[in-house]
Amino acid sequence: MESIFLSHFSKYSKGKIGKFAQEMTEEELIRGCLKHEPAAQRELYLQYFSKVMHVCIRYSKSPQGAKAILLNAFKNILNGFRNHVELNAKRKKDLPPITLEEWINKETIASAVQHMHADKKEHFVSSTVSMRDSGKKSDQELSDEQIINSSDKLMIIKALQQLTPSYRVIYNLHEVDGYSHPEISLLLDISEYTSQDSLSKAKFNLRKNICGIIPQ
Amino acid sequence: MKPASNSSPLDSFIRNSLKSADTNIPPFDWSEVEVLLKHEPRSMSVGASKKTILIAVAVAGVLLLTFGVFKIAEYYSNEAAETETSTDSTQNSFDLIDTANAAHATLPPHFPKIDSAAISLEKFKSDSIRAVIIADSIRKINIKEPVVKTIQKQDRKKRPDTTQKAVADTTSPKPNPIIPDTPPEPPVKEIIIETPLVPDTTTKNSAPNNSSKKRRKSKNSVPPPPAETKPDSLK
Repeated sequence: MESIFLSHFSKYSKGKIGKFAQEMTEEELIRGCLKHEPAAQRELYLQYFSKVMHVCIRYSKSPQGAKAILLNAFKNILNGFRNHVELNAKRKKDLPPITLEEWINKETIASAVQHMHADKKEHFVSSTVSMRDSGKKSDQELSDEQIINSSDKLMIIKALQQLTPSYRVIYNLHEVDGYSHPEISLLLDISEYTSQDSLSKAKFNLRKNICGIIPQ
Repeated sequence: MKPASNSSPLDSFIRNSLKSADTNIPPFDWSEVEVLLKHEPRSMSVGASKKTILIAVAVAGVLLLTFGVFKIAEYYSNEAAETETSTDSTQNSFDLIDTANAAHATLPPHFPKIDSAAISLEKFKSDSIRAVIIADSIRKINIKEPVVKTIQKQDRKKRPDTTQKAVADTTSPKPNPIIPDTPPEPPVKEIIIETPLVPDTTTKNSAPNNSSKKRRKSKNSVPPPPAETKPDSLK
């Protein structure tokens, strides 16, 4: 299963892994990207591609969507590199500076949210499963232990990609990236109650999707 | 950002499996990103942040709005001035009437502008007022005339045409200082009272009228005598 997933993404790759990855330090990368040097930009892309791509896969519905988010994220990162420097300059001396990886991760999430808002094909249809049905357990449902023992990462990603965009984004933001409900409400322009409600529904639907994916 | 808490083992398992980036995905071709970067214009790295640009745009918008509002207000004020100039003639006439009243109140009149047309209008009005006053005085005099005539008959030949002269004088455009000031008297009553005191004059006055009527009647009723003389002529 994992090999199929990787082969799907390897279609877009040309196998060019940066040969200068170990030669440039983070400081040099930042300086080069501030000057819009192509070599520094390429090096940054090669260094952080894998991490950014993992985030994009979580937030997207398909590999094509993940690629679109990734390209948009790198475009924003490389063009708005000055924002990273300004953020650190404005930051108080007591607090530790924002690392390049943290900033890139934040920019990627912002690009994913932007992509979600821009993509009109994916309608924001709420889950057909209501919370009243969450208490009911059918005979076909599995226990938590069975799910943990019989599922893997690719299954979970597939189940996550089956969620509606809003549920997927809220689940990722809260459960994986550690955003609080007030932060989510600010980022998505929704109320905190909506964020909490969507998260509980997303959890229920994800579990149901995983149960549907696991072969019985 | 705080890590999610209060989670079941399944939730923590899903979270951990999603967070782990153990699979190494080979990167796409750099040329795609390079093309994107070349096509896209570089963002505002000049130094001007988005906030300052927004503020500048807002200020420019406000200036444009105020300029537009000022222009509209100017246009309407011009229109109002035009309408005022068109209605100036009527206002002048009213002002003139007011100044005339002010002149009666011994206040110094002050005119912003002197229009010849307005002055002529004033003259016309004053003349018309005078004419009305004169007409009233003439009427009064006509009513008083019998009394005056009796007095004249008493004097006979000493003052024969004084009333006529007075009437002639009143018709002249010169203002009569006595007549307008005299308050409206009840002369008719006096005349009614006085008329019986002078019965001869009234009878004399009325007599010729009656005699003339009688003459007219006699002229109409009496046949002409020459009709009787005709047979003689035939003879």
